[in-house]
Amino acid sequence: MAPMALRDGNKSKKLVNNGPLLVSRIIDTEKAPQPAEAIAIERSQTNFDPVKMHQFLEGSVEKSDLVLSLFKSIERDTFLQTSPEHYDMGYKDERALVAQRIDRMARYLELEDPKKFWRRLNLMTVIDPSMGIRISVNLGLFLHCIKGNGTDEQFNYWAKYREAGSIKQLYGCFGMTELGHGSNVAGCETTATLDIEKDEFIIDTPNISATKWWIGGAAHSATHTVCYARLIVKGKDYGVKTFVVPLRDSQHNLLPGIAIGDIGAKMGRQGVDNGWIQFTEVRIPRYFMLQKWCKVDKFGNVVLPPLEQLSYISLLGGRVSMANDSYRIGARFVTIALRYAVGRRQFKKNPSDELESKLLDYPLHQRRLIPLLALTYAMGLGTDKLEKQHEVILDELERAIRADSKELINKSIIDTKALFIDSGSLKSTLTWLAADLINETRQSCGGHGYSSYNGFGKAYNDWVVQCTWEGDNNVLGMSVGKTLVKNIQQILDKKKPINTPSLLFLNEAPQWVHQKDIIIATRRDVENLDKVKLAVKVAVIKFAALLLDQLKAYKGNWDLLSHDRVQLSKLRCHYYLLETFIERIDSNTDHALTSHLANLLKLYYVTQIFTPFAADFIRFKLIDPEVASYLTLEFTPQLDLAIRPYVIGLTDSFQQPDNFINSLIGKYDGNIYENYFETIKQIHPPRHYKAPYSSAFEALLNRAPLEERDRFEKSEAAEQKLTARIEK
Amino acid sequence: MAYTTNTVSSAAGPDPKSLLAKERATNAWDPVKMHYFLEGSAEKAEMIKSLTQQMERDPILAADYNYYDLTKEQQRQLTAEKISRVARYIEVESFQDFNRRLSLIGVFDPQVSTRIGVNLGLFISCLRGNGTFDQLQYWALGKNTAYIRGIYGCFAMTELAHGSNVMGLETTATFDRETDEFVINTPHIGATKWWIGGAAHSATHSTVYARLIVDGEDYGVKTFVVPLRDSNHDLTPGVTVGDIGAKMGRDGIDNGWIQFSSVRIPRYFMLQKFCKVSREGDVVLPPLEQLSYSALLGGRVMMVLDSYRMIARMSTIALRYAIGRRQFKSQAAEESEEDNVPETQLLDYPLHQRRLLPFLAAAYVVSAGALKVERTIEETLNELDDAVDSNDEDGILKSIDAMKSLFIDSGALKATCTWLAAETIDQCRQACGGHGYSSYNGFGKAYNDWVVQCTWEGDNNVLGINIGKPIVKHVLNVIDNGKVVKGSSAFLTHTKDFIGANAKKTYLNSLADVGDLKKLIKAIEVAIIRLTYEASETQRKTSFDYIGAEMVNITKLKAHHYLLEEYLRRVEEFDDASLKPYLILLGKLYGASIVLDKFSGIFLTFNVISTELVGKLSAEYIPKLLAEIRPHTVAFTDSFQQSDMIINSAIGKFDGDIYENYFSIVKAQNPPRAHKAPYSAALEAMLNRPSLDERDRFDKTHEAAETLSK
Repeated sequence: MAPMALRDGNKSKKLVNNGPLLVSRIIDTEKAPQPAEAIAIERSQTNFDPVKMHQFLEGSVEKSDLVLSLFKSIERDTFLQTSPEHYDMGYKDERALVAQRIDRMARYLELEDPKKFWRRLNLMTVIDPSMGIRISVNLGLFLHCIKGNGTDEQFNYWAKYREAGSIKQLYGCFGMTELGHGSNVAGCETTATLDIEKDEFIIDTPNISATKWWIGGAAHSATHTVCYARLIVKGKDYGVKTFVVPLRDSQHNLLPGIAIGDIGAKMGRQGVDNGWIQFTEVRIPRYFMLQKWCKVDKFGNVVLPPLEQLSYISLLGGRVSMANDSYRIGARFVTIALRYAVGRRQFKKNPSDELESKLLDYPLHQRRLIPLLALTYAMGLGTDKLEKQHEVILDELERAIRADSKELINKSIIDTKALFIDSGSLKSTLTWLAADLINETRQSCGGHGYSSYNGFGKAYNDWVVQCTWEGDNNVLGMSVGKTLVKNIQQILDKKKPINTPSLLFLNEAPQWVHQKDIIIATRRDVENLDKVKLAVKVAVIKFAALLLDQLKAYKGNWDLLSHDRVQLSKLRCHYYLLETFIERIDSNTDHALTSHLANLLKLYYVTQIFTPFAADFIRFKLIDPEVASYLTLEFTPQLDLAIRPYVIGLTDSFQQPDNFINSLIGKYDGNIYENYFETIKQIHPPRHYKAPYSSAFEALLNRAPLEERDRFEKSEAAEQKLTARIEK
Repeated sequence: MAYTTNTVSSAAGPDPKSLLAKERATNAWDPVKMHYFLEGSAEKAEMIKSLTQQMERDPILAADYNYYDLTKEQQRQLTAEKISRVARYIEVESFQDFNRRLSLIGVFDPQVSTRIGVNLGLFISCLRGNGTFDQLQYWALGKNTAYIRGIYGCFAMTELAHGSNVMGLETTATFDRETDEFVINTPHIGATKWWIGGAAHSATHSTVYARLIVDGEDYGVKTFVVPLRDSNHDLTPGVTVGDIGAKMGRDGIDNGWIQFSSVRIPRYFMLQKFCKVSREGDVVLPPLEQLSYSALLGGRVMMVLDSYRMIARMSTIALRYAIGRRQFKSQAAEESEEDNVPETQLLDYPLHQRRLLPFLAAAYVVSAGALKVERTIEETLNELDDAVDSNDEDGILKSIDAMKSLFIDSGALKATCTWLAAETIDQCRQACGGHGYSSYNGFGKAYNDWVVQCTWEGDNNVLGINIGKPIVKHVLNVIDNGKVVKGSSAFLTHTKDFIGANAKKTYLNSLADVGDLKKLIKAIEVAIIRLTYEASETQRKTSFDYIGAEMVNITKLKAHHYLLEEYLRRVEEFDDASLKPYLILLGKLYGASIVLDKFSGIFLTFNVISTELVGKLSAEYIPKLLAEIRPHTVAFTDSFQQSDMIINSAIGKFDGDIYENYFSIVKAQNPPRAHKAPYSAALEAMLNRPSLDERDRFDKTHEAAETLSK
């Protein structure tokens, strides 16, 4: 090829690089930062086996293996695996993707044993909460409601014969909340009126506020709903009961009398087709009413349930899962933020340093993140215990009902009560803490935390509804707090011990309620686990006793105590986690893990219990104010520093693979900048450097001057012409 | 029995509208007058309403509910259209009025105000702060940038590997003496300019923060105007720009990345107000390096004002909903003798009051601080410009002092108020239960758009440290050298009176003390002093890094001190005495809940408040204040004078007809006629799929087993 044959006016310019160009994969002018190297070095310092730690966190080798095998299955599955491009999806596309994944999950459901499938669903819920909830509404809420409220035959019919349990033929939704009623289920206004003549119920939405609202799956998926409606027989209102109401026929067309709509855009979980439903005199056969407890015969005789509280047990599974989700989502975001904090450098501590300091070498950054790591460990252990507790109770109840034994049923009721309290305080406290955790870890990644591809934004938006649904956190907290105060009342005033298994410690109230000597009186006491446990236990007792006194002063008005009832519930959750953490450490046999777990435990109770509740611990005379000051000013930073060298190992121990973490700055190799930049270039090729709307923008910039666009009507020449005669 | 109103109902539903109307009818004051307090003057308040009216009628600028359904691409286009519309206003109104307009747009469509703010705020502020008078004239006015014409600027400061540490930026600007040019270069991936608002699609020029290198010597980070696109909007050679894609919020902004590969600009494109490079390559350095960051100050001040308006908007929605919405029956209602007692209004629950009313108080208190700091920056920058223009060295030095204290105050307020606003949005959303999660009620987008305020233009934690540090240093100096501290931290001078033998003296001993705002402000001073003293002692043994968390707390307390002090001053000088008692109520609630209750650990640890009092504060005092404020909620929120368009929330409208408004908006945005999803075929195929055996071609049946195992 011949060279350019002309000479031009441009003189060749000398290069002015500030050093020789460095050629590797690409050409740099100076050495680029090496975050992957920093992470690799710290990883090599890990002095324990992360797999062993994972087994400890998950509670057993079997569960750990199951989780890892499911991670493998998910990251390889064409449809279930994540992809950074998904963060660019509009909500219409997201819904279609979720539908595709549901289909895929249905195939696993047909083949896997239920335990494995539910664990799969549980893990998928962390990476695709929209999908998780869309399936849970059907398999969880809809079928559990039928199981809890329907006869065995009714359950078998809908779940098995009609195959709803295999996500086939039918798709159920859960028609509980209404536009005007959320938390107060007993206040629902939809009616189910018995027409004795035809032996049918007439389901009707009496007014706008009774419109079923937020119903997941209603807008596009559901063929049937369990409808919560007031049972009305011969003019008498028997309160809210449950009815299976078909919404769509087998061609997926809406049935007459059913009006359904999409409730549209949401803060998060845009992949869920939440809808509204209005029933206009929709008739269903009498036997579509769920009649395990409450029965209506064809003459209109109503038998009310003896043990209605047992019908609510179906809600507990959801709460237990949400507590557990808090651990997994916590692990995911703590991993991202800590990897970033090790790879990222910012400011030089000393002007003479060659490199800037790692973010995580700043005590403030340690203080922001390492306590969250400790919290995540505490959540992992506590929610594993809660999960087991739940499984045991379900088995127990099943056996009790099968044996039709009053004694066993009574025991089940007591255990269920305990689970109500434990799951209620853990669900509310931990979903809140997880929301805070996502928020704080995002902020700790600075601007990059705001990029969708790093995972925080979507996760937060999808997450926060957990604080509202299936028991609003404040409503749950108040209810747990109330139960605790009532129990204390029984113990202190009626001198009658309680028998709720996980609250037995309250029976020690008479011994501690007037405790005067400060329990954590010296700096050394802070590391004495017996004293620490005692201090937290006594805090719960004294707090509850104080509220009892106030209740009397307020003449029994609970509403005036509501704020503190929620606080009490949080404290009780922490006592549960603390007890579990200590129990589990005591039974641990792998010595390589011991010192790490001990440090995490201490950091957990100092930063999550003593610091946020400092005012309570001081006023209840459980901690000396000077010790409290020592805790924040000295002890916490020391613990942070002790854990600091092992954060990579301790996050690797969550064993979450890149595909599951789904964050460009949070990958295992820690090659933050290249991972992030290269993927963004793939998703948004720089070739498209003009926006689709560029012409409009260019027209804005290159518009004519104002005078010209005003047709020069305000110019001096115009003025002269327009005023010529007047002036004269 | 059915009956017909606008629709046919078969039983009476709730009537939220009349609940709000009833409370509004008993308003104890004229919201218009109260609004004058909030905005600082009748004149300004009227101006704000007039600007709002113009925008709610404007065909392009007015917000609507479709806004919440837009995809990222649609948002970007709409934002561009709005910018084009706003550009027509800027040509015909004063810059001051335009700034107010922009600040109001920030409440209902922050991506528009940011995308414009990057150009008119950051780009031009950078020219003003770092360029000579002539450079500013040339680029800002001569080229019509100030009217969003001709060129569009962006602010290329942050890099992929550098955010908060501006001094550590790595892009280079190397002087080529031979051609009298600078060569702008991105040395490696970490120095890629990142997050640059407007870079992806809009900007034609950028003020680039780059290291000035002359004859191999590195003079630190300076600013340069670098063209990115020619007048046909095509990229200039050596410039690579890309879209950074999806974000948590503010999708309407075209944030981008920029890489420079040996891009040459004339020497006179360097901004040379303080730092100068001559034709020969002689470098004159600025008197105070920080002066060149003054570009960021305006943004910080604006964010305090944004915080006030956002807190006002969100608390209005949540409080209107809390009045119209009924839920459960309170114990009092349950025990009532009357028949058919309806469910209780949410806001009649003490817990609900406790969750929301402190934010109402925060809106009022923050407004006062926002106005003050806004006034201060205007004065300070004008004085500095005058001093520089007239080459008045004493004046420059004096301005530098004023600038330093503005750094402290604006930084502390920016961090504290943007965090507070984020918390407000989050808590208000939660207080609306499930409906708070619907996009049409405004919280989700507001939150996602908002939270970046806590990170950009000075990360809140970094600011917390930067502002806590001089306070700790003051205390060290007071202890060691008996220094006299001036300005808003003057109270630190008396540190010795509150430590050592006096460290146990409590300052809040009775509810009367807490109710006296002057005493409360004093108590905050004591808390700051004792906390700072403890931290400074720890620092002596360790380092400033070690006390980072304490410095952040010190900064927050300092901001609350500033806000309450200014609020009290404003209330005292306000000319409408009839409103004062109500304003004082809010001040007390702010002090008791947002300061004392939240920081009770610190107040107790350092003996500022007595142990018994902390219990009473929570159990008696705060509930009592809440009960006193409760009847005036509608008057307080109406006093923000935000119209439905600004509020843009289906459940937060003025008329309070929550359910009708919400349902009709949801139906309009999602017509029920489309009852099958676009992807319905896939769903139906799943549900109606053949049995597993059939799909397995009956290969696993007994028959197959027999055949295959023969």
